[in-house]
Amino acid sequence: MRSDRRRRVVVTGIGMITPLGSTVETTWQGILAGRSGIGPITRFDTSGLETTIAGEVRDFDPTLYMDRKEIRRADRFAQLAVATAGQALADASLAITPENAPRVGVAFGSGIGGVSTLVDNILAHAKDPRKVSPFMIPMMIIDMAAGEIAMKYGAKGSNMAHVSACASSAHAIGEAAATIGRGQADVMLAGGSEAGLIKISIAAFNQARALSTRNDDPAGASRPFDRDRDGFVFSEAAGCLVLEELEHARSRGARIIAEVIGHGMSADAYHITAPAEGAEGAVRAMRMAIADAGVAASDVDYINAHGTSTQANDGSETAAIKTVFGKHAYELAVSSTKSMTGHTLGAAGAIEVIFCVLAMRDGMLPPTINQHTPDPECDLDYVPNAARAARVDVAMSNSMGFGGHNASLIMRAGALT
Amino acid sequence: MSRGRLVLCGSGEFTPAMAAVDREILDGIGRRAPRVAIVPTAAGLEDTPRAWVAMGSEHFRALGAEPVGVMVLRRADAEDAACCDAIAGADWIYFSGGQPGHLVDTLAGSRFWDAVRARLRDGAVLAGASAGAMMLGGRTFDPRGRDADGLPTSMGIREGLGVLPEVIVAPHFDAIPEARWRHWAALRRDGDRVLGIDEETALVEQRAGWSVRGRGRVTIVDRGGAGVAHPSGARLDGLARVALP
Repeated sequence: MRSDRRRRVVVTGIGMITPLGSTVETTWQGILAGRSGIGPITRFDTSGLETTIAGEVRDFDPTLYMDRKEIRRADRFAQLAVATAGQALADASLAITPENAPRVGVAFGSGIGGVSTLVDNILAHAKDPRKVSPFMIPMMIIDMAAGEIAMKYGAKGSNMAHVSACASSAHAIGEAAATIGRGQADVMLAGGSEAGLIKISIAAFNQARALSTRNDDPAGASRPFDRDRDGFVFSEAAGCLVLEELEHARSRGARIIAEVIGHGMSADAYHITAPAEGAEGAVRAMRMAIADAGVAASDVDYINAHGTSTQANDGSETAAIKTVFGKHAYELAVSSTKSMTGHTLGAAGAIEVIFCVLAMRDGMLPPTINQHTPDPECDLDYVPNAARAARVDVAMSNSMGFGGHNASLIMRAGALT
Repeated sequence: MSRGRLVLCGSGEFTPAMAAVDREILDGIGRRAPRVAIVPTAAGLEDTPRAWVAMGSEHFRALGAEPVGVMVLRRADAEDAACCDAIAGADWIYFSGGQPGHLVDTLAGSRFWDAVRARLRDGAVLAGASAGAMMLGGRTFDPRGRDADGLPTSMGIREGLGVLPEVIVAPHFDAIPEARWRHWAALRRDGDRVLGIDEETALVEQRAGWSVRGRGRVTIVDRGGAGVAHPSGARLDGLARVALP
């Protein structure tokens, strides 16, 4: 249960790079326009693959954030992380100084981290072990996103990586908020990054029957909650939030965008990829988040669903929402922005929390695009095909990962009392 | 180009407030006891369609017209030949208010909508009030829910029936706070113009251009968000409608 002594945590800055754009606003405008960021894979030869589409980040220029030496020594997932952290710090107008640095931490998640670096070096090793990069290990390890951010911006507080597959960055944000809440930091750069778009990743998810093979219709491939969904679309992205203790933010006159008020976590303890029967793990995570937030379920206006576009997830998550919210499940709005971004795995929680924050900021509900054929099991208001204007005071973001990891986060908008 | 006129009404259909406007339109039809088809489709999910027909019938009978209710409430009705036949001789087809989304879902691509367009092409007046006017735009606001002030809790935009392309009709324009309209207008596509029609006000298509009738104003909000208000009696140009086959 929520402790009244816990320090309050607010969002004062956001940064994001997705297949829809390399800034928060370009991405958000794409989301509100119902635009898909999915297209044919251009990064590598897709011959032999069942899936030839993905959500590539196409216009990312790492030189805007790192020097060439830093770029060479960082996997793309860490580059994206550093970039979005820089965007978020700028958005928060927060300078990390020698005085405040020990109270500024980083919590950053990723599902598969530097898998690209790993595969490149395996291939090099097969030819000649001496060709393996001395930077292979530091480039591939998942904690290096948090490490690179700290090194780049001088954050000397709590620093860690969170790995729970597609719930990674949701856990990172929740734990970052908890770190501030219990007084171990005043500011946390929290989020996630994913850039594992390489041929073997697609092949592996194809073998797991997880990906859409709607190659002839990339924009229509990610269709969460639609009856004709056939799997998720692999994407890369990163998102970062500046989380700040409320009084710390107020004392420096920071613009407060939202408050993180609840975090719930659970494990299915059931199956490596499938959700538990009755989605009971997701139910417990959502209920824990609601209790932690100290709100009623009926206070939640909007849920950014995990909504992967897989048969397994979408019906199960819908059932879980109905279990948790009862009649209110049919009154609140639920959408899956993965219909536009694709599934960004370990970055999904971060970018989707940011979408919740933006929904509250602008009073706009992001749509779920590609809603054409209703699925009787998926009968909630998914904000089909077009954004809607609506006041959003309380928003929830759900994330679930292979291994049975569930995380729910709740944010509140409006004037803080 | 079609010969029939369009009439877009901000609200107040079948009330004394619109009697003068309606009389003027009836006079323009140029025949004794014009036949007016009252179509309450927009209220098809409510329990009010018969009340709309009764109200409209009383209103138009008092103006010397010959009203008939056409109960196209659901999609099956819109495919029903009997409903199409019911408007075959109508001089004026009048869609009353309700839910614009239901109107579009019911009518788009239907036999009844084809019949309406045929009548418009052959010279009948096509009028819509509130949701009935909204559906005529290329896209339409799609309100949901009601808050404590009676305003929608959420607002979307969806495809309309497209008689007025690149136009989104905003009825009850003066009854809803400007900030709400600004917020909702952020949903429109580049190129969409918002046509704000005050309550108890009509925008009536003329041989050339359009004229504002009734007590209020018609405001055109352009792509940049600037609004230009046209008072009653003013003439508007530049609102093109599609040619009907």
